[in-house]
Amino acid sequence: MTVLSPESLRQIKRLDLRARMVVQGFLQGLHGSPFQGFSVQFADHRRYNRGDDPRLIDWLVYAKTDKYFIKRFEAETNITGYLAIDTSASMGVHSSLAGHTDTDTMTKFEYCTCLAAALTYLMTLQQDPVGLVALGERMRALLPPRSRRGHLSEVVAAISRLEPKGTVDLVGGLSRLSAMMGKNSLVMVFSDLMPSGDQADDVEKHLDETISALSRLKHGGNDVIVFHVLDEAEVNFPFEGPITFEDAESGEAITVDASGFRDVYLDQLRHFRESLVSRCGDLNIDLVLLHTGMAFDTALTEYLLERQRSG
Amino acid sequence: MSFLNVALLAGIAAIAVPIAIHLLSRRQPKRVPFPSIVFLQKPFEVHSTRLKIRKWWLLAARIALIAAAAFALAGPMLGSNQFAGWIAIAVVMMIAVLMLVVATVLWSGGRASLAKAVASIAGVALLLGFAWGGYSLASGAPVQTSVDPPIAVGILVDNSLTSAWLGKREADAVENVTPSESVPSLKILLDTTADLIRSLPRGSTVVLAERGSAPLSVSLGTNVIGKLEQIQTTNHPSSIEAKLRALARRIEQVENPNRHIVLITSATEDGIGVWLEDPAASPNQIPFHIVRVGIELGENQGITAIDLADPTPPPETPVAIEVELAGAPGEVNVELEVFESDPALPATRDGKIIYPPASAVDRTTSVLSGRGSSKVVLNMPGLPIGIHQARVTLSTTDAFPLDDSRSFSVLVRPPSPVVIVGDNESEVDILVKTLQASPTGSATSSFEVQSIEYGDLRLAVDGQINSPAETQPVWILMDPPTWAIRGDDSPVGRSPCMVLMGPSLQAGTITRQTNAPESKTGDARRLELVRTWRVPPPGSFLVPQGSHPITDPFDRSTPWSALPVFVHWQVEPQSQDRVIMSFASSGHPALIESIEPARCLWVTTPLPALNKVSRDWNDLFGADAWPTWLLIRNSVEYLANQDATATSVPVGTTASFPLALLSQLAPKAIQAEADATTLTLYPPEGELPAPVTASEGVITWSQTDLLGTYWIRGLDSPASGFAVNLNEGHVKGNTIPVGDVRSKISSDAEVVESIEELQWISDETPARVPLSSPAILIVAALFITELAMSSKSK
Repeated sequence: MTVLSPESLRQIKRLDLRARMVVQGFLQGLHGSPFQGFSVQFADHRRYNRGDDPRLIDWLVYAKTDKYFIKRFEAETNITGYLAIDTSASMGVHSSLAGHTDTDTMTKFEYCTCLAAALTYLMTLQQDPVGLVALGERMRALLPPRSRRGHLSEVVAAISRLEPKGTVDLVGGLSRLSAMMGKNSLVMVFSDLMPSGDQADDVEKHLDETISALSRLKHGGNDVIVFHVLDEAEVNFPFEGPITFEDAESGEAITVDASGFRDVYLDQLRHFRESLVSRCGDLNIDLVLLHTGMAFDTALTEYLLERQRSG
Repeated sequence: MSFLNVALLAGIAAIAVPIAIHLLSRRQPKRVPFPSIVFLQKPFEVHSTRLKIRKWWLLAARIALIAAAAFALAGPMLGSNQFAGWIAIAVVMMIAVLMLVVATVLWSGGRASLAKAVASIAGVALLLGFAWGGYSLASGAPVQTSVDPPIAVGILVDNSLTSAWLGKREADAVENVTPSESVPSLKILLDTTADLIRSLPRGSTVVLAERGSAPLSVSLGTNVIGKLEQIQTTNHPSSIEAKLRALARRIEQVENPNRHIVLITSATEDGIGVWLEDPAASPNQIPFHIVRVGIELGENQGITAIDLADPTPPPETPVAIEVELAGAPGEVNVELEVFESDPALPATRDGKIIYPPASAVDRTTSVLSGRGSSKVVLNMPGLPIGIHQARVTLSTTDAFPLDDSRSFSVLVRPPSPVVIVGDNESEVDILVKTLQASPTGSATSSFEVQSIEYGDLRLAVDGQINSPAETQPVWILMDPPTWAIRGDDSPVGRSPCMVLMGPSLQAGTITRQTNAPESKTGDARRLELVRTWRVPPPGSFLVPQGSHPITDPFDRSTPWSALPVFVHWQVEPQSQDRVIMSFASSGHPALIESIEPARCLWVTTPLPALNKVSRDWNDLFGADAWPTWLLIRNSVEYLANQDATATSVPVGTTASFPLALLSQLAPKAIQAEADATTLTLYPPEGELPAPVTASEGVITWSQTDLLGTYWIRGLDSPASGFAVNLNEGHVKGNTIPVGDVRSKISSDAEVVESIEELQWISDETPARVPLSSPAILIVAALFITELAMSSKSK
């Protein structure tokens, strides 16, 4: 679906338009109604079919007609959503070759903002309140969750103002967020989960702490979706020959023969992601593995599935 | 080690390309911002080292690949004697490379110190290998790198007598592919030689020799083929051994160390049979090859010998000539020709040599049966006084023409004067008849015999004393009294004499007369008559002592023992006198020759001893007295100088022609005249005439390589001359099988039947071992290694 591809969306400058394009395109593509029926407001009736939840049978209509009908409703409950976006410098770099201006692909940060805006739009449609949190060196609660109509533009405007810079204290930010929030919220974390600052050297430790921070969120009675976003080049490692790789945050650089390191790197990355997946699975945290070359519908579908589970 | 194309070694310089690429690739890597750098940091330390090492190995493989490719293209060649050394070097290098691999593995495994130790040992081994290789390359003898290195070859063509034999190649005869006409063996040998010379590698040096007297021909390349045409059959071949030695000496002067000697022969028994009996080792250690060209020789009939009943017949006396024939069965016509005595011939007219014409005087037909020989007798009619040239020819078309003709000379002299002095008429008569008898029964005799009694001796001696030496008669003194053999009245010491000692002599010393009173050899003129010596029956008999013209005609079967001697004089000869015959029992001399002052023969028992007094002395003129009869005639012929026959020599030997022969025929001082005159010698077969001069009355001529009559012109008489013939005996056309040649020749010589089988590589020349194939294999292995390493490092 080209209209939802990150490459085509990058040509649209306004984030709200981007979000609308993403969501509308996504909704057009849906079939059936697995995402209907979360409202208290009656919509219509339809004949009971096998497989439908018997709880939804309208017994009054059965009494009148002696036939099973199911009631269909508008959304019933509201879920408070929090968008937590990693704003570290590592999120804002293009991992393409130096001197080669790649305007077709988004940075991880652009991809995250776009995705966050689209989710905001979608949640607003469902009249769910959405809050925005920026995760940097310190956590910043930018907007509290609201569900009024004008909130969408506020959220999108706030996202647009975000800039990727500096390091991120992901663990501290998430811990503070969990302390700040009540129960029954849906926390959506957008990050590459790369260690930053003091923890830059130890991936395993950073992962442990991150998972523990997420588990606190989860154990606080919230639902958590982690959107792990990587650059396409980070996933595919398309480099060859001797290349100096630089870390945007620490400025550290190592020169390696990319051809020789490809397997080793991909192995390490796969190992990291597998570890992430397994530990998130253990905590019942939803993890969506994304990269900047992927369409947004995967992320949106994941949200809706989560929304359905919690509804 | 040498290279076919050294220039291609410059391709090794191309190793600069991978080195440059290696160095350039290290410069300015591209910079990429990469947040996931954390995943690179961990393997970076281990992996970058491994990668670096792999890079170095890749560089080494690329350098080795290019160097090996240049090496292979240059066409390396190795002498077989250098093989072991280079194998050792290769092993050292391979061990060094293996140790480097081990060091790499150790390094990757983190055992850096051990890896360094192994690598340093490997480095030392590599240095050693390079140093050793460089030394071997610099000091090793160069290998002949061209595909066919030029060689120096000495070729001896066996153009001996049998090379004139007609035949055809065995190969043609067996395969029956091209039934070629019979050609002389020499042509086949020369064709083979030409093929051999053409097949030699370019730049080869050829020294050509033949068995005749022609000098060696040295030539570079195939130019010597032109010289082959000049080689002809030699009637008098030099010994193979001498020729091979000469060839070896000449070949050794050629700079090319790859020397060979080749003998090209049809391997006939007459050609190389004698040499094969005791072949010397390869001359001067030069590789020796024999090309035994198989030739099927044709059938032959030839004259093996001729025998004149009397080579010096009296004038106008027919002579019987016995001709021995041998060869293949069949009918042969034998013809006798006599050259006319034309004083104007031979001569050169219009550039051609005109020889005296020959006219046939007798011919006969004989049938040869089996492989045996047969004899025919031809009759030569009586000839006038002079030296006559004649020849016997076979009118046949056989495979070997050289033995179809034999030449000879006949010397017809005027009769020699003989004076027999004796008082017993009947005995004198017997001697006269003995001397006047002619072998052919002709009325003419070789001797003009007169007889006188001892009473007329003084007168007769006085009458002859001043006559010229040529007309001095031979005196035969029968049973002389002592005064007749010493003193002024005696012919002894003045003229040739034959003294038949008898009972009339008295014991004592006989001092012979001399014409040269100033001579100081006084003792030599004495002869001691000791006493008469009696031998009881059955008596003693005569035994020839050594070789002498008088006794040479007798062989061992002569029945001297049937002619007993009972009484003889015991004579003590002087040291200068020669004992020709002696008595078997006592060993006393029976026939003595004294030379000073004139030739004299002393017989110590009387002949014919038929009178009353002398009858008891011996029985030499008894029954079947032909030996005595021949002894007297031989003795008188010897004294009359009639034993000197016309000259006929074997081919290749020096002929001497004494002008004394002519002096007996023509009057006066021809000898003195001839010494001052330049004579002309006309060889046979149209060869150009040559001037000759006589020395001390003898003309000598050594270049007797042609068969036939050599004519001498310039004397005041019809042309004379001498004959040159093959050695007596049958020339055999048997060829020696190649197996026999191999078994007889020394083991270091190579015997082949065709030039294609010749092996020019000898032990002295190291065999070339081309290394291109292994080098290409190494290149292929390095290429695959490089591919694998470069694909892995991507």
